[in-house]
Amino acid sequence: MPGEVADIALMTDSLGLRDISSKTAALSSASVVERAKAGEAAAFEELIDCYQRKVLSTSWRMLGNREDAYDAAQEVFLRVHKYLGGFRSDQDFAAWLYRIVVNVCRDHIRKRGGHHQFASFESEREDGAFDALRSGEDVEANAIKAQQRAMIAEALDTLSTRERAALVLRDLEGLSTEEVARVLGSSQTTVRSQISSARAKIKQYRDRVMNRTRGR
Amino acid sequence: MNCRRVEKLMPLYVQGDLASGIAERLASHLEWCGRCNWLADEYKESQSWLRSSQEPEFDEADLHALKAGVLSRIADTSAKPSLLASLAQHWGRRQVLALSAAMLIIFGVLVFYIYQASMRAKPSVIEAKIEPPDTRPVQPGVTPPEVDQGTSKETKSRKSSQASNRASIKPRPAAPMSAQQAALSPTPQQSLPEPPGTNAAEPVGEIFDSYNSEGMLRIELQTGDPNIRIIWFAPKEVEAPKTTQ
Repeated sequence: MPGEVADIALMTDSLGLRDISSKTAALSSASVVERAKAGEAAAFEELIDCYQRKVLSTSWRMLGNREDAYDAAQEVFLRVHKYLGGFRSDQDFAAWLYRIVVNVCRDHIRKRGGHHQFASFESEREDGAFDALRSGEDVEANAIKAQQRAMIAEALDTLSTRERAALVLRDLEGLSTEEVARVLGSSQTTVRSQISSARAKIKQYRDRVMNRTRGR
Repeated sequence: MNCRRVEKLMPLYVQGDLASGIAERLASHLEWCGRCNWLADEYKESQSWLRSSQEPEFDEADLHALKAGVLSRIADTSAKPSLLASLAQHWGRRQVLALSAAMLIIFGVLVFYIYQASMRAKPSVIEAKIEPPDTRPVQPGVTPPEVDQGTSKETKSRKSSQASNRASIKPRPAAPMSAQQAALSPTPQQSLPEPPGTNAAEPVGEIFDSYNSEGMLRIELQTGDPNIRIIWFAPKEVEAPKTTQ
């Protein structure tokens, strides 16, 4: 059944039964991973269905624009397919996947010469982010959302790649410090230090923006 | 806990990333310190502002395109797998390691065999082919000919190629043949050995030059290798027959 795991995840989210059903979803995910590892094409497609939104959103937060996020997501799933044979069953698949996402995003940033390319409000409009909008209220609300997203993307741009990865995983993806340390392959102390520095920089950026807005 | 320390720990405190003991001490500081309390509120607002960032919406068409792109790229790569990839697919890591070790051993044995074969083909001892000395009488006022004058064309051509090596060894006047030389050299009636190269089993080399210097006889032998020349000094007393004349 394609999309079985995704359906379970969506159902549990909507019913607020995340904690109760997370074990079921994890077990189901584990069986899908095992089948994909054995070379079953349908199982691999299920894995894509299940994780593509997560991979895309994390890549977008890491890279700052939609186009790069798509490229990175494709590369992530190609790497998953390539290295799935080496994935041990006792490992956490989500953590393993996050690690690949972070590595792919780092490679992307390195290829671009260490610069993030964040989508501005104007570029989001050009990309057709508001094409699907119908009413005037929708347009206004989505314009505000897009502007806020662009500001947050700019705030994330003030961080180094490591700080950014740690902050995205801890504060935006909701992983624990221990999980972030495992994904990034560093100690918890290092992760705490990176997160602390990143939060301070974000606050500084927000303060600057707020002062500028008040000054107008 | 002072305000400076609280300021440092605040980014971790707002999201519960501090150990419980430190967090409690910080919380008790916040109860009476208004400035730090205000800082904590600012950090909380900043965090909620960051979290307010909604993910960009990815519609179904985009997700479908992503999936299709991944699957087509996988199909492309799996259509022509590399040798290593196909080996890795069917064999375990240990088997691949064992195969590489076996290939390494075979390669080593081959290299050793080729080296041994090449060593066997080379002659182990370089022997000298002694040319007959020039026994013609030396006429006064005429420059004596070189010892190796009149040898085969091959020797001449080799000499020209060795001109640089011989630059320091100028031909010297041929000394009268010593007893030892006479003993070593064949008589004109004896058959001379064939020029080198005609028979592979024959020794390679030639007497290059000889002279009598301060009672020592010097004989130079040029081996088949142009870089190797054997120089031999004979003692003076072998010239005794000359003094008796």
